[in-house]
Amino acid sequence: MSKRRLLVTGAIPALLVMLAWSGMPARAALRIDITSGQSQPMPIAIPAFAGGGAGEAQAGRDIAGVVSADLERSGLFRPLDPRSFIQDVAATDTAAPRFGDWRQINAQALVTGSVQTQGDGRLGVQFRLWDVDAEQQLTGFGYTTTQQNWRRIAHIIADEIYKRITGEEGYFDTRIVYVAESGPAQTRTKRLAIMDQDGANNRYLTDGRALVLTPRFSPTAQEITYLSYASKSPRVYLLNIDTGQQEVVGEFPGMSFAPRFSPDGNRVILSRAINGVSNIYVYDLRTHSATRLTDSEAIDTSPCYSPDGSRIVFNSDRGGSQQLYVMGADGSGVRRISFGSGKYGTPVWSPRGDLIAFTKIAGGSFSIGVMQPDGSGERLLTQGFLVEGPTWAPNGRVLMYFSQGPSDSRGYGGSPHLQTIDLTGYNQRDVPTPGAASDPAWSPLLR
Amino acid sequence: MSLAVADRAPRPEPPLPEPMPDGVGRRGLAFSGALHLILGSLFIFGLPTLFHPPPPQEMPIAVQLVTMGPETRATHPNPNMPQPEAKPDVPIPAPPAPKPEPEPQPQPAPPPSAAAAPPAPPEPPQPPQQKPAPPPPPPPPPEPKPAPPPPPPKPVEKVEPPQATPQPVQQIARNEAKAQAKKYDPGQFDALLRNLAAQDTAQSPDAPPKTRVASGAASSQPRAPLGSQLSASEVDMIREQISRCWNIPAGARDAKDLVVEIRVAVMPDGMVQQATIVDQGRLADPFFRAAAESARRAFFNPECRPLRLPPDKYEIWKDMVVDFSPKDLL
Repeated sequence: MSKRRLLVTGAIPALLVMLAWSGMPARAALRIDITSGQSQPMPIAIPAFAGGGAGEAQAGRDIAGVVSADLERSGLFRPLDPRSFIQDVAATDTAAPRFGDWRQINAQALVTGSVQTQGDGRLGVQFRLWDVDAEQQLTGFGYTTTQQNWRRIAHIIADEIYKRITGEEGYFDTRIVYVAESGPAQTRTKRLAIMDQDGANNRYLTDGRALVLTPRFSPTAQEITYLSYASKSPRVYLLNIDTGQQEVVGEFPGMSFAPRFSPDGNRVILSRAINGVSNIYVYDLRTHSATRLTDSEAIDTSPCYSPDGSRIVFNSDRGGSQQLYVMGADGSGVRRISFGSGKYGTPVWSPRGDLIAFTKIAGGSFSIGVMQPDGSGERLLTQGFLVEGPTWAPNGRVLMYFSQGPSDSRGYGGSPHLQTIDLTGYNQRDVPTPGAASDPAWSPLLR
Repeated sequence: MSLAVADRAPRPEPPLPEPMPDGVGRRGLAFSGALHLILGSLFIFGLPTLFHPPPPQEMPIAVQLVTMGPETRATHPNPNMPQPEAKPDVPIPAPPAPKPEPEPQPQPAPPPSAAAAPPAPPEPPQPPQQKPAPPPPPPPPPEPKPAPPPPPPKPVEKVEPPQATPQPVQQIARNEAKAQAKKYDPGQFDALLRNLAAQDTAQSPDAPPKTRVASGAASSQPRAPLGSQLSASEVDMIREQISRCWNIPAGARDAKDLVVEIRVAVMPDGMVQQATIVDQGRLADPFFRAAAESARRAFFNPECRPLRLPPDKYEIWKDMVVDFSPKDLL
């Protein structure tokens, strides 16, 4: 009796387990490994954002246009021709899109949005990003801003889309500061100018009376440090973009140049030339004290911090020809990292920390390239008569630089202009500027 | 040992409940012990095979065995059952019902929510838009989150105006993005459940043939007969096809070791019915998510609809796991 009960109580669970076991279907039998794929831009549909009134409809078209242009320039997206759209977007934002209509034109992603003017006259903009195949909303945000500020909203939306699809931060809500050049080559006027990353909203920061060079953003994107010949000898200045206030960085004897902010924004690293010898100094903006980091009889210049602030890359001709070196932030442990033929200059550490971009001069032409911080993996991305001065987009995937063709014997032609290229080396674009432009610097993401 | 037994012996006396002979108790104990042992060993030896599916059958030896495949397979599962409902109607979407999801209808279609009723009411203008409320707006809890199946327009989060000096925007956008990312999870989980359910139903169609086999003839047919593995060339073919459909995410460049597993339920005609990201837990990582979604997208690429697989081996490929890893790319 009790024996049987024991048997039953013991056996039943065991049997159950065994039954469940045998009944359980074998897990997915077939496994397939895919290790290669395509590298095509993603087809994305960005219809005009819906808007009630005429003004709103226009804003909706404009915003969608800027978002579309941003994404297209990245080389990772292929905005589809609006003429191919089947579904009218007017109704799109209120309900889920008709995904079949968008699949039909091979859109993999769809952006819908709307624009409303609010009671206080400000613009309310909303957008949603949809995965057409999965029929899911991927992300969606709303923003409110002044009417004039619509471009920034468009850039912020483009950044959100870029981030959601690629997993990386975007770089569209950024600005470029550069040297705007005008006039003949002999009497060139150079002014500091600032504009959106796509070339819009260009404005000048200096009047052109003094020659300016090498502008660089602070980590907050509110200040610029640059070289100016406003006084007798070239000096490093700070300029607050919003207030227009300028100040000299350190009253040093001799000439100072090639400034750059530290990642925390509290220091400026620069070169000082004394008696034909250039060394690297760090200037503390809070204590107003300078510390010398290198001590050579050569020309050490173009210093740039690593994003964590622990190391500095610079170029020096201490070994005979101009090459790249890396040292600790205190000047210790100097180590040469470039060993290729030719000269290397203007090193810039990627915001991601994984690469250093540089200008290389070899065989009579210039190149923009990247290498790892230990000097390995050198790769040239673009080449030209004169390409120089790379600056990184904040996500470390795109470089901007300036490019110039040869000028004729009278000094005409060959105006410099800005270009971008991504790390693949395939997606090269011109950046529109009102006139000739050189020495670009890319801001961090605004916001 | 014996001491313990001796100690214990007197104890049961006080209650003295049953006249259970010592022998029986011990035997019972032994029996129970043996059962537990079996159970234990089942788990120990069974588990590995449960969770680690057999390695890919890419060995060339499969080529030889292939010839036997069709013979041993007495019963063909696929000619039966025209499959529930036409499938993912990629083409002409005449009916406005924006939910062409192939899921067999019994699935949870509780309240025909928003998306299901196209010409329905004018659609509540927008979910509770939180008005500006500067810095830390409570991470929009009022998300209505209607039934997960149809993609409900999630409330658009409200973000402060980005002014000329726009510091706050970023903050808020970040917070909200984070909040949203977190909220994303339940939906994903629901999706997973749905997918599992769908897979079950997807498998059911071949249940009938099996029973027929049992009643008919050779009942001891293995589920996937030995000779019916995909040959190396067949595997190569499908790999090549999927490779052409997979658009590598840009972010994957930095994550060469980022492997994404997609579990795929395929219909007999080669159309993918479900493509599920296996590791849902990692979707919080934006890089993984981007990579996983790009991998899943491969199965919706027109080039991969349908997948070209040998129809006579449907049993083998109707449910497969595809590993995407960009390691060969850069």
